[in-house]
Amino acid sequence: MGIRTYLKLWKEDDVFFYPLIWLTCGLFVILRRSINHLVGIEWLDIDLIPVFLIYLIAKDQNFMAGCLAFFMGMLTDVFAPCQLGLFAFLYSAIILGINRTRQFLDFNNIKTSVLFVAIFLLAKWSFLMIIIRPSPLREITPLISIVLVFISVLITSMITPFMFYFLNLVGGKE
Amino acid sequence: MTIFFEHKPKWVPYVFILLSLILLSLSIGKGQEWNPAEKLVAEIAAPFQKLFMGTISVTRDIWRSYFFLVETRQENLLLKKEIDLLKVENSRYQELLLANQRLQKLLNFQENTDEPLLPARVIGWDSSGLFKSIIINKGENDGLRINMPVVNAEGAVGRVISVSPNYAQVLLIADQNSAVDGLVQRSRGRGMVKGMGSDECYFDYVIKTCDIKEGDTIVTSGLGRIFPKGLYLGKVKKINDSPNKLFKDVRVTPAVDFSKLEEVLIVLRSGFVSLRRPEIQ
Repeated sequence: MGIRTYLKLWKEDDVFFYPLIWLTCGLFVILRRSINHLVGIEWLDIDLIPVFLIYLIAKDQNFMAGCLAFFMGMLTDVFAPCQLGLFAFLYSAIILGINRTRQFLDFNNIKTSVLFVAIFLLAKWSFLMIIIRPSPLREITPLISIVLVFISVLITSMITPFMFYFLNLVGGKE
Repeated sequence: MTIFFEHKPKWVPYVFILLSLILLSLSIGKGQEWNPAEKLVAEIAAPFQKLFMGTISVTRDIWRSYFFLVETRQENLLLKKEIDLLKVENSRYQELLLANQRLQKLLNFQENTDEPLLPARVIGWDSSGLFKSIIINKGENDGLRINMPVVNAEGAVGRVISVSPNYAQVLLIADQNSAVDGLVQRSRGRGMVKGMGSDECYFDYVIKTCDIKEGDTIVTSGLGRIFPKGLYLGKVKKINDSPNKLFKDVRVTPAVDFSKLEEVLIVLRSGFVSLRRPEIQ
């Protein structure tokens, strides 16, 4: 099989492109906190998994987005001191909810995609703050935490168009 | 790849949600220990973390040992002078150390130093962003067990919550799921240091009559049977004594700077408490 066949497979059949997305997501889940730690911005929570998931939905790969959400959630569960299935449920449920709305919206519009990345992240944090944060009677989540979450969501949303452009470039979809 | 995902039944996402809910309900009340499948995933994924951290460490070392060598000669001369001064000072401290050792023996304080310590390197951090935990490069094969205390030179770091053959997960004392029995070093007042998931901790259940003030040192009481007695936990940052509350509201700054954690020591305790297998006690 020559290099042309590989390039054809890459461009037309996405034989390498989608596995590359899976690999990137897996490495991102494993390394993202370590990167934050090394850079010294532990307060910032840039989660790129929703960006990849919304990208897949925009490219009509709903089923793959569902699978990716579940397995990346499971991987997050393994490396986080929480109950197994928490993030898998969270990612799967949010992505299913977003999938249900796709018939009413145009996901090929970048603004819609950015909006849904932000909605995904806000839904994730709202769920975690309500379910995980201990003793709400004792103390309401500090304002600073909420502000940091909003900053993280804003930065992730702003990165989204660039990520989409880059993914289109790599996938030969421009 | 697209061929593989062509025949996509619509009920599959619901199966994923159901499966995650089943997993969630099965794991509730079982602690955070890794099951065999999770251990396998950790064993496969942790080397990537190790490789990443190793590469960063080597790059940093090269940077420090090569690019920072500029003006080393002048610095060397200054340091030599400083060493001479420190030698004199050191001899004085040696005397003080000997006196301290004699007093320690006298007061039977040796229990804190008797236990074997195993050094480990931090190779990864919690993947969720919500919790405070680390992955270390030592596991069951090195003698690690669940609930073994993890410390460093600054004080208590956390406890082992999951182990695979070569890696382990450590829950930091700053995590919201962590609680360590503590003492005010000066007045011996009791309380419990609970993580807040941020850079601060609560010192909970401090009674109104407890003699505590800002700047006081909090140490482990040894009562939880996980941490040895006398480990440095942190310093009292803020006290709020509200008349409407049963206990004093005390905030503590942890002794350990978790953002700079690179190496830790695991206390290989023979008498550790396992929450899941009490018969080991």
